[in-house]
Amino acid sequence: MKYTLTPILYDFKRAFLRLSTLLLLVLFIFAGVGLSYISYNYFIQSNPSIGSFTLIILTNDTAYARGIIYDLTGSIIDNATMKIYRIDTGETLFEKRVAGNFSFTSTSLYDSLKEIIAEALTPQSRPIEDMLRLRIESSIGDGEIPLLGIQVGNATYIAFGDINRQFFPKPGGLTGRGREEVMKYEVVNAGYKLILLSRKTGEARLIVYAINTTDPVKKVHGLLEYNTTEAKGLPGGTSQPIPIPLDELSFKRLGVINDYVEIFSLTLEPDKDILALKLSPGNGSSNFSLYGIAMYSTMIPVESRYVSFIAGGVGLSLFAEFFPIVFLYLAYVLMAKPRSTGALEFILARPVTRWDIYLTRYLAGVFVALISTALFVGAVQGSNMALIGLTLDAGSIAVLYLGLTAALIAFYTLCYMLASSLRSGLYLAISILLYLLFSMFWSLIVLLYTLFSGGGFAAYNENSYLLGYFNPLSPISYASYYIQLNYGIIPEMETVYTWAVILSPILWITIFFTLGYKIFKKINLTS
Amino acid sequence: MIEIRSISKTFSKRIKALDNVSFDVRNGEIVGYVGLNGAGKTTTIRIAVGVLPPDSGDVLINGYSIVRDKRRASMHIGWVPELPIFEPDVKALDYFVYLAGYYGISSGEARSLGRKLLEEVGLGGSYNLKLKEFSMGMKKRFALAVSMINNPDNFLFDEVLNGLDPQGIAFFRNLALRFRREGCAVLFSSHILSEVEGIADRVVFIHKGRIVREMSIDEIKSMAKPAFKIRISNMDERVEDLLKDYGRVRVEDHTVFIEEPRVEASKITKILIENGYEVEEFSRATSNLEDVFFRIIGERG
Repeated sequence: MKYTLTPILYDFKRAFLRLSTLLLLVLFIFAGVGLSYISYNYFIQSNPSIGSFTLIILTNDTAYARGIIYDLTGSIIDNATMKIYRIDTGETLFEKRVAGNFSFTSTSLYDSLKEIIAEALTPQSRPIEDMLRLRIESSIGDGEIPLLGIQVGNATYIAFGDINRQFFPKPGGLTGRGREEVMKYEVVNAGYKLILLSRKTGEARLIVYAINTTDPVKKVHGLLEYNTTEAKGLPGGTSQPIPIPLDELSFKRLGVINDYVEIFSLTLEPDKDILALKLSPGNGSSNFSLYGIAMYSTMIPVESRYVSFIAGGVGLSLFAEFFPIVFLYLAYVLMAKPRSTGALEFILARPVTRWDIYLTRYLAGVFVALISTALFVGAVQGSNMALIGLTLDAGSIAVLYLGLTAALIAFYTLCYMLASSLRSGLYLAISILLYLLFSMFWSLIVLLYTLFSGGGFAAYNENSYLLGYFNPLSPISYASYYIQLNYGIIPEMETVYTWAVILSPILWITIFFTLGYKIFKKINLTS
Repeated sequence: MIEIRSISKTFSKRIKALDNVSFDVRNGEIVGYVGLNGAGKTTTIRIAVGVLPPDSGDVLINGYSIVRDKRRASMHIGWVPELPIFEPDVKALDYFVYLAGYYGISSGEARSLGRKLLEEVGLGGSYNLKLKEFSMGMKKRFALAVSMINNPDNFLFDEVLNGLDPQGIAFFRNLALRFRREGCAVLFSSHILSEVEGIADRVVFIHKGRIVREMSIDEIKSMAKPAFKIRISNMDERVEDLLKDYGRVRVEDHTVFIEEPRVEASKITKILIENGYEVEEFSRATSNLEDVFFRIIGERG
């Protein structure tokens, strides 16, 4: 076996292990990091990346501040600069570098806040909510945190927060809008924010704050319990009253509350709809329990919002647009150039056959596609993890990998066929033309087809998937489609047939590979 | 042993490059392969070394078919193309190591073998020159060094003396003779018969894609015997008849050639004068090998 196989393995090795190929692999890693980074940037532009709950208690001529700063997944960040400023004048009243989980005292903050509260109490003043705001500036983004609550009197406090739900005291028949009643019955002001990370795993974070409004200096101690339930027969929309049978639910312990604000990690059952929360005093008396509900089945998880950038038009297709050029070049270096100069003929006088040369150099390109895409996908995953702490699920990773490799191998096969039959100048001209056709001008073709087939603009998307079967680069679009479908980002398309999605690249590859060899087998290799 | 068996090749529908070409090159023998440019020599050799597939026929190298068993057959072939082409931007020794890899030779081993063989073919100082800086003669020497990697016993030299300086010509001639001594089969193609005269044992003539003759060097030399060249002012058609008993007669305008004459010049003159011919000029001409060549392929030069 060694006698005959050595030269073939050798040609493969030499075709694969070349400087340009290795540089290319590095390029793909950078592209993976770049894709994540660009997607992340787009993502945080449309989704606030920083949230906070900050409580400031004014007592004994001193301001006592206690708060946390978290990113969009509800994880505490390392550090940031907090600024309290006036919205109307833009004047910064207070600025301090703080950790993600901070507490401090300040007399200057006390003075500034006292002054603005006094101004707000004059009749002609605008409401204080429109005057004060907290701004957080950090390395991963900035956040504008509105005023959440204020109490003036002998127990003065100001709370800033992007927390959108309040606990309410009585079970049954209440909506999430029971704030007034809460304030009436209880001396505790407590609220929560649910961050759904992933619909499929049910991973979520819950940020809970609790303030003893009678004496804010005293922290609330309580037990937090939860359960999930189905929203059977409920009208759509969270603003409708939801008759949750809170009394019938058996609550499970989530954790204890000992501070003004706490973050809990929890797993929500993916096939249920509603999270029910119960906050009871630490003494075990359930008479004073507070309840909260959050419909999570209609929330768009952080993950899906992020994935729509990664897999959608902004991220993946932007990068995928340029990958085929690499394979166009690879087919040129491995086949078109040596064939065209005539150097391939001298190599063919070694103990290798035309089939060996054709196959090994083809496989070298395929191997590059497999490895580089793996590196690319790995880099995407790694930088997602680092940037946002989220990764695509295994199925989506597999689909992304398969789609990218299928597209790149199909396009490479097309180029390779051209390379084994055309002179290098002509090869470059035609392959670049085809690249432009399949990547840049394809949407124009779909548009023209849509106009002439009379479907109107509405049919554009359907047609783009339909015509995609005739485009070797389309597996990337199908991968993007399946990933977004998986995360519930886009609806199902009638024109995407799984069998055709699989069959189309297989046909592209086998037809051009076979055709290429038919030509190469006979061709005169003299330059 | 190279056995060329009925190979045919058509490049386009109009040009039949090779038509049923067959001949052998036995071990310990140098065979000259002679024909005009475009006769099909290079095509034959390219098919024989396996870089061009024939339309039909086969070439056996030490009994291995170049068509069906190329990997094995190629192990026994050394080839110096007429115009060798390599990757232009690679250094000579590196390219040698690269090509040696196809024979399963590790890069360390190939490096020392490369130094030895490049030295042997006279490229000792050019290891680190890029191949595009090589002259034609150097390229042929390099191709030869590569041919010798596997120590084959069949060599095909395609117009190898073409474009070489006298030193290069002597080098390749001596090398061919050395290979013959070592028992190798050597095919030596040329479009000039005299180029192969000194070294070939046999000559195969190809013309327009067909083998027209196979001759030993002795036979060829005998064809190059002296001839009488007689210019007659009142030439007519009876001359040929009159002289046919004294040698091979050929008439061109006012000149009659008598090849391999069997009688003395005086006798011929006498006969001509007796028959009323006016002999203007009588000379003794030795027909050279090129005349022989053109006579063999049936075309006048």
